[in-house]
Amino acid sequence: MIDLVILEKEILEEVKSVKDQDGLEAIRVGELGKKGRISLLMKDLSLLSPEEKKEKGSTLNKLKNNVSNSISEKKEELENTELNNRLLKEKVDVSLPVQSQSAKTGKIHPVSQVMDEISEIFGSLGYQIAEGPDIETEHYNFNALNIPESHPARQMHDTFYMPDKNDNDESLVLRTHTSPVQVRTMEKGEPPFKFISPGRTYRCDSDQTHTPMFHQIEGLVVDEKTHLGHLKWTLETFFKSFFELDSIEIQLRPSYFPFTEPSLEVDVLCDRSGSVLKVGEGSDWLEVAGAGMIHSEVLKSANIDPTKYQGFAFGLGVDRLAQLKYGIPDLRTFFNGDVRWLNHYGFSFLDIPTLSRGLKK
Amino acid sequence: MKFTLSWLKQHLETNSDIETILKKLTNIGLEVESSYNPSEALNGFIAAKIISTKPHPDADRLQLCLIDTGTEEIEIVCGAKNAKEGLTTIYAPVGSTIPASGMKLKKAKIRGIESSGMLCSEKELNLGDDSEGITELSDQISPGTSISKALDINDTYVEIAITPNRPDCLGIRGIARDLAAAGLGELIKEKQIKISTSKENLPVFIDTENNFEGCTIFAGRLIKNITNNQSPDWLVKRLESIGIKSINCLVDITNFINFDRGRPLHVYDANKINNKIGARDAKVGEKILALDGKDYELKPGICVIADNEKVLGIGGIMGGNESGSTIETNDVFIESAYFDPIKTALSGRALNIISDSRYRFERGVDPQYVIEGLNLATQMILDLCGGEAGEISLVDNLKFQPKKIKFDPKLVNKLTGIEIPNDKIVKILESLGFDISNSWNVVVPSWRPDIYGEADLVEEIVRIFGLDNIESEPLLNLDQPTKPILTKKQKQIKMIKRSIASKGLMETISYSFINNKESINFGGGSSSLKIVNPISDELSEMRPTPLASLVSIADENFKKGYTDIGIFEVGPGFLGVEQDEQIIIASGLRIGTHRSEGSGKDWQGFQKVSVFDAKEDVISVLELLNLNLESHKVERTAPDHYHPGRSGQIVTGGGDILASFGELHPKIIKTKDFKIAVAFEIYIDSINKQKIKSNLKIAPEISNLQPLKRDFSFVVSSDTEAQTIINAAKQSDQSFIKDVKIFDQFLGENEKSIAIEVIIQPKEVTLTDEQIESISKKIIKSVEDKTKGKLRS
Repeated sequence: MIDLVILEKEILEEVKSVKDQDGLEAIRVGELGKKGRISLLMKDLSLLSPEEKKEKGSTLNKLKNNVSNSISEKKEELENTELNNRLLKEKVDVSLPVQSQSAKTGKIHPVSQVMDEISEIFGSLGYQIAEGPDIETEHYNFNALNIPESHPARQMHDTFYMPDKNDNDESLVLRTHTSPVQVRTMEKGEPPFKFISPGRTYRCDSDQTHTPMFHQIEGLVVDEKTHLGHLKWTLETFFKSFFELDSIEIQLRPSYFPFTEPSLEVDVLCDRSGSVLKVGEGSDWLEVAGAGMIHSEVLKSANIDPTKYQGFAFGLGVDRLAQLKYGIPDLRTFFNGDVRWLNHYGFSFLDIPTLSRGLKK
Repeated sequence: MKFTLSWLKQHLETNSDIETILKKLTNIGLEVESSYNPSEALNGFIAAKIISTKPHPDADRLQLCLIDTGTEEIEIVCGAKNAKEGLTTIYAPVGSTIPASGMKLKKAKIRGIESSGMLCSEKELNLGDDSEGITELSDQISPGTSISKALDINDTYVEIAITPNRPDCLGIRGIARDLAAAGLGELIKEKQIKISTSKENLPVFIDTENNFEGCTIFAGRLIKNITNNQSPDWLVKRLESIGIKSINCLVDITNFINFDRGRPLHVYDANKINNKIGARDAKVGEKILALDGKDYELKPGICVIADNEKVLGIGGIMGGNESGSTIETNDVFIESAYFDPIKTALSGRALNIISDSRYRFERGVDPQYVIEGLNLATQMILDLCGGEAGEISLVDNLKFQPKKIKFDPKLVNKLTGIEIPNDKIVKILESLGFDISNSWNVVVPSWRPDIYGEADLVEEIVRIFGLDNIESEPLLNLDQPTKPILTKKQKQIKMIKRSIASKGLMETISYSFINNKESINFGGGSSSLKIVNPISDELSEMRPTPLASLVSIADENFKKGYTDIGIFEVGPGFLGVEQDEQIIIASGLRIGTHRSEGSGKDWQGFQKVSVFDAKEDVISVLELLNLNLESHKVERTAPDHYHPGRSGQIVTGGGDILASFGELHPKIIKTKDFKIAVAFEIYIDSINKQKIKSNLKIAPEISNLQPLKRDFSFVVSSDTEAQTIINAAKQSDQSFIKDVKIFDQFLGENEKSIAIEVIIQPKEVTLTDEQIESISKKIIKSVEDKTKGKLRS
């Protein structure tokens, strides 16, 4: 009779020292397979008396379990070792560079971003957005705005002229401001009106602070009682939102535009002492808008009864607001498309300004 | 408009300091552009007398000057040749800053000799152009006197911006009137002028033939036996203080009155006038040599001043060279006239002459000051040049009647929200010269041509009362917007911009105008889009598409070494001048290896851009816009600036062209440094016409059954388009075929092999082998029929 204790010790020793899956499988077949040693011993049990069977059987079963368990354990151990070895071979150089996000995604121009910010603010105040053409008639650009042919104010505009008339025999210019949209929009509807009109504007002028093309936003409210106090509140509210300030001090100065009466210019408080101009603090004033009560002649041009309706209009320089908010020194750089500049001052396409997330990044 | 504080005080009696005056000017709409007091920069600079000089022991060109500063004697090293014993000059002590250089003086050794301070030239002090030697002061000035006192330069030079509606403030008296109205003192009363005259006169006329309206009042006076010398010092200084050069006494007097009163005048040598003088319409072919030394060709519509036989000047704009007064003038004729603002503006523009006189007449001078201005000039000429004054000759066709405005003072509150008591309103209007004696029938002063209606009066009142009294009042939108703020097109533009940026392109904004060559390259160049007065040839006409600008921008960047870039612009393209011909195009351009996977060389691989990068950009945008594009297709009809074989257009079933894409035509980029570029143009106006898929969606069919994938490979002729195969396969059984993808293509000489994967989605039950076989057969038949190709065996 084989000493089962010795046998177990022998087998477990063998399992322990086996080096690979094949060797382990050979042991399993040799011991637990159909014709394996332990299987044959189990078979032999049937020849024994019930008492012996019971006693021997339990010992054999124990042996079988122990061997089986040790093989399973060894199998898992060998598998782990193999996996680890394989993984180590699969090593790559993780220091290899990848393409940066900025190479794969583009940028939004600061003027587009600021336009979005402005429409977000005025949208929340209930303004619609109106538009008009860049090549504009002299009628809408000047005459309808109370700037007749001979008016000295026409010289202030440095107008670009187009050579031919349009199909309606009207003289054409590149619009010098977004104000023509006022009359265009009003003559198509009935008061009350509340809209802004953003867009490209053109003047025959070029230096560090003037480019032949720039962007304006015009705002207008017409009803039966809107006055300069409402204008002041509107501009304060706008500048507070735009510059994300808790409070803002603005100064209104009398000025002159042919299409408003009274006319005024709007300054915000600013600090010029540092390297970057800061809005909302300091003791200097910075001009940021022109505004006034819409001239009765302009209302008449749009077939609106000036004895019944009144309202204000204002104009803002979009590029200048972008310069102020984002610290961009030279206006000309806005329009030359240098990719280094675009990358520096541009915005991620996911930076969509909303009032709930705040207008800044 | 320039003036000095001392000149202003000739008209304004005030105790206010300069700071208060400057602030008030801006607050009442006369915006201060700059102010400067030269004496502030010369604080500490004093007069000093050179007691003795001796040569510097170690330098030939330097001297040692012992100077008397009034309190002590100091030795100064000086290099000026004119430094000599007895000269009174300007001494800058140690610690002072030299205005011209900004240099702060320290005690310094010059060639071994210590020098405490410096003797200064005019140029160093910004007092003049003379840098030859040190300033030579009068002997009368005692050492120690401050320089601002010694030179009498303690004055403030102010420049203000006058808006075109305020011709009355183009004279310093007008500025004083506004300040007095705003409470900064009293306007000094004018002295009564009494002139004893002879009967001498020169007849004047206004010839109204051809409905001439260029001049409506013409007045003048002869003064005989004058002596036209240099002007007295005070007049020269006065004019110099606002940058006007002294010419001779007569001209200086007219210039003085022009700036002092805003009243332009002209003086003629009376002996060069033949018989009579007046205003008339210019005749065809008339010419004049004007005072600026240039010849001008005149034409009807331009007002000229003429005598019996010749043109003497251009009315209200510029005098003639021939008839002008000179030092030799003995008899002078002074012209004081009223030239029509509109006609003067048009003539000035036609002749392209800018003058102080035109500037005032086209804005509107005071028609009731014609005679007073003439009298003031007469008095000054008599005072400064002597002579005997003749009678005034006058034609007045204007018969000026002041404007009257029925004013409702409640309008002040209605337009501005400010409550101003009526008595305050009256006081403000009266101080500005309005006559309000007849209750609220306001009579406008003759010097305010800008006042037409009630709103103008409101402006005057609040301007003087102070705009800082306007209180913010909320303009709340109680009925919150129920419809979107943006139009559909505006929303689409926003989406498109951010969508394109997400594909790796940077947004540019460029000028809407380009040069002629680029314009023609991109299908433009029509004469109606050429700007009459462009800023340069490079920016001379409206571009047909923003893509034209992008190509130049890419080239600029390429030249700077940025060779793999992607840029885009959403902006106007101009097909014509009508409103519907001004369209918005979203254009993009990729050069080098700038693809959506990455840009530039990379170890994971990199490729030159291809037409499919541009197509991908277009398709991504179109998908994002959620358009209802049932049967759009790609056609080979892209504009001529694209490579004819490597470009396409997206066209809807209805025939609308939504976008073009492709490689740019080699001819277009021939002159550029980059050799390949792909581009796209998305026509936003066309996009805007398409229907958008509804927000309300029916529940999707989401099957629990697994989709099947079957591959087919077809051999077709080389010119068979991929979209033909895809459509043929899709349409073979629309109820089960969910998608068709092309996953391989092999190009042969005349044929190509295209491999497709068809995704088949069973609906309620799993498909049987027979059903799948049937669908496969349908696919093969459909593709073979449509392409005349064969399934690859």
